[in-house]
Amino acid sequence: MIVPNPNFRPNPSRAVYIQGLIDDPMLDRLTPTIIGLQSASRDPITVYIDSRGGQVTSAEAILRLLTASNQDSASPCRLITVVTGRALSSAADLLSSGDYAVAYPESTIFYHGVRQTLATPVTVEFGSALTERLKISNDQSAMALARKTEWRFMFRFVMMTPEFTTLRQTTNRPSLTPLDSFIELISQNLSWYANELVKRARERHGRYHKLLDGALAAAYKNKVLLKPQQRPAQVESAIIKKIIDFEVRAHKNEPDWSFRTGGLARLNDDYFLLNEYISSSQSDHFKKLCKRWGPFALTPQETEGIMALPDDAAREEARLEKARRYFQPVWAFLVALCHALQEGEENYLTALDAYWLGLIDEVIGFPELKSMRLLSEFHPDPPNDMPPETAAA
Amino acid sequence: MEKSTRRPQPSSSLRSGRTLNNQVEADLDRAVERVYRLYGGDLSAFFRAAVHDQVQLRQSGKENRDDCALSAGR
Repeated sequence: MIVPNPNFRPNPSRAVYIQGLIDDPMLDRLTPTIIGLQSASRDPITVYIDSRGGQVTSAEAILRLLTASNQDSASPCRLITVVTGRALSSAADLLSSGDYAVAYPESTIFYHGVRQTLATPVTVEFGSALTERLKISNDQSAMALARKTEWRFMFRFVMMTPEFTTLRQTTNRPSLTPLDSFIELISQNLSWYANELVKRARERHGRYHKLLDGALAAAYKNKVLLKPQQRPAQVESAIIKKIIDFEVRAHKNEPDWSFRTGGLARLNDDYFLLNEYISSSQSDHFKKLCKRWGPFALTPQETEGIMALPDDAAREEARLEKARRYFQPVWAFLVALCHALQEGEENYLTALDAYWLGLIDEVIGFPELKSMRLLSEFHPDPPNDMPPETAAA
Repeated sequence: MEKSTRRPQPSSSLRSGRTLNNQVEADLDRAVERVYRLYGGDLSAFFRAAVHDQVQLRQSGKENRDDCALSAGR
């Protein structure tokens, strides 16, 4: 039986509309409505979007307002974002900021890197500083998108896990990793543009994979990351040294490669990635994610091994550790994907692309797509052979 | 496509991860436990049943709309 849950359902009677250019006049127009809705109740607010984007400062101000607490420190109102036509640029960021994001079937979603329109002549110094700022901003935006979408993306991954074995058998590739299986399965559902995006993400992820395997493993091996008495700068210094070693090794067959000619920028990228990787993998969010979805990702043999452990704490710890091994590579791929979304001008996605890439939760009119809403709303009848007391539990 | 005027150094709100709503998260945890208890962790079986139910619901809604249209002489 499906029991509708308002936390996953758009509600036009508690809604705001982002239509047209996102700018300060739009913020001025929406502010009284948003405050009115929040004062009336803390129920979810639906944000309907049909916009080509606009000023990121205005989009941020709207989002800050929508997610504001009140004088009693209540939780922010849950946001249900719905794209009815277009969610481009900062409107796409708003869409992905929803706690539950829905798309109408013919919608277009488009992400791109941060841009700067200049009204004044540019000097070399200003140009260099601007390039650096834009790059940092792109990196940060990619990480922000990854954080916003990690729950959706991991959910998509977990939903696909039952199909991995069949894929390995039918393609006669028994050593296909869970991540490769996942990418191959979602790729079958993507448009040409989205598949090009995934190709770029895979290339980037290939480098991440080597880096994480090389530098991070070396840092863990030397217990660099496990000494709590160290100052943060000492840990950073140790990680940077590992990255330098890694990059020198990685380019040993390129006589002209040097840190001066581009290598330093790569060092910066690597450090940024490793830092995010370490902090994300140790975050409470990530632990919760592993705890919730771990049991579905583990093999029966792994589950059996965990159940054989003597106490709850040991089982919990082992489950987390095993789940981490599945989810960390997926997380690294998600980061690569979010970076790819910030590059180029061809990242137009259909609603279904956005669904399969974990950027939204649901596409209206496609009841066969697995969603968090369905997980929450479907209350199955207990199997007939289940004892009544278990069934009622 | 129009040029965006996105600033190169946006502030934090579009950057942060989602804010977890405790009530919704607790509901989802219960839903996950329910799947695990009733289907032994077989998500495919759960979603087969859920999708089947949802499709039936949609068809019954469509039939209802068709009935309404018929009764309205359309």
